Amino acid sequence: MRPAAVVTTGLRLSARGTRVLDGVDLRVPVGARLLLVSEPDDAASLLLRILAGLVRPSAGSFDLAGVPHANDADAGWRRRIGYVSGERGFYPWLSPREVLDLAGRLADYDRAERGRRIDAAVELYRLGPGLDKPVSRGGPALAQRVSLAAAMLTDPEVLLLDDPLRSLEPAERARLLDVPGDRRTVVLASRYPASEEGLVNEVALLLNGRLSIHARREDLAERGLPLTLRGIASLAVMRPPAVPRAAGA
Amino acid sequence: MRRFGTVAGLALRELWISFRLLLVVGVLIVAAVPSAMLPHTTPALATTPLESPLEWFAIGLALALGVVGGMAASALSLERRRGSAGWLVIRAVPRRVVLLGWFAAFVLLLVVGLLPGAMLVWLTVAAPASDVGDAWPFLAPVIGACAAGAAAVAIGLLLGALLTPWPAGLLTVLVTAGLLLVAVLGLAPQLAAAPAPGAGLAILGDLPNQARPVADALRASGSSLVVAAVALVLAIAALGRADL
Repeated sequence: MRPAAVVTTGLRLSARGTRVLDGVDLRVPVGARLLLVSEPDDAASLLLRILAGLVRPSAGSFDLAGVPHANDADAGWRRRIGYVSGERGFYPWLSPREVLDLAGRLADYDRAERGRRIDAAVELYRLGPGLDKPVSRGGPALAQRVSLAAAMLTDPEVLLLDDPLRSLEPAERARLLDVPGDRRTVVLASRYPASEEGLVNEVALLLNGRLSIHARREDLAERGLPLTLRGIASLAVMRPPAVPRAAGA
Repeated sequence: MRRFGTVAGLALRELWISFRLLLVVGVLIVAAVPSAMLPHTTPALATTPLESPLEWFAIGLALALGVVGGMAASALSLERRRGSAGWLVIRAVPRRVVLLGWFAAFVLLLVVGLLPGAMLVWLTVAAPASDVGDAWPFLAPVIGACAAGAAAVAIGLLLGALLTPWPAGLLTVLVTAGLLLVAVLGLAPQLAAAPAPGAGLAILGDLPNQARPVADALRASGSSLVVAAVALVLAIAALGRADL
């Protein structure tokens, strides 16, 4: 039984009178690569925003990287969590180097450590051209590369990806999202599940705010179902064997 | 403390690059121009209730401080909407530090904008006037105006934590500029007398007729800072519950 990197317990979220999440209990084991899809499709994104601490749930609790989420000032814990969405977030007038340096400073790395990590990120995410020019001049693709590079700068244990890198060419997107690390847990919310082929080993479906199914990727393949919303929903109807439960946080 | 400095620096740079820094400083300087440029012996002015150029200055400042508060409101709301605040919060910057960093940036600009404007009015209007020869009776209400501006910024940040950019900005301008104008024009005597927060501006506008301008203006400054502190506490609570 593997320990859990992400544990949500009874998470509820209401927005404008609508219950978007209705008691979500999810356990993602350490090292899993979970594809999270939902119907309606903003529920998965909102769940990730709750996990990232950007949205307060109406009820329920969650643990990330083995720690109950509470203290948003805890830099040591925060740098174990990475979050990337389709939005840029950082100021567009910052250069890629400044964004990475800022992320490193906020993670409390000293100058030498920041320099080492920034150099590695520049190489891995191919940020060399335009490294010292405003990100806004490089277009959305550069901004999304920088977003991922900044999130990965701290080598997070849990990486929350909210439909990221959509402006990149598919092969390059797949290369960047295939993040290394056997013990790194990735939760990837996607509106286009088929495009995540090869990146995930678990799938979960939120249907009308409830966790409808959480299964292995192989369960889909064994039944000849595609990695699509409809395929995962069909698997939920067939009620496959559950994913080996992760130990509590 | 280091994170606070980082956020304040980012806020100032964001304001500079988006030209809002020039607007904040500029509107405070422009507020001083009418009183400095218009001769107060002009008959047309003398027949109006605005007999004193200092009253023009106070009215200009009331409007300018409202605008600055409105800009603070829209700035914080914009930070929430486009994810800049969220980007920092994800990286262990507490929400209250984001808010206080923006507050510090705007208050710094308030001081930077008020100094040249006040100096302009002092040199052209207040100093030559025989009944306002001492600098302190002029300086104390200006400090009061600065404190009232800090309160306007804090109220703006509170509304910016709750509303979308345009409604937050407009509502802040209406509330803060409205209250300060009411105080300056004497429409509500209780708002124009110390220790009401707007009394600093009211004293500035009617300086030659004040018996204790320094003491009353400093009392008004204190109550403005109390209002600013209360608004900041509420804004921190509001931002703590807001979606980023």
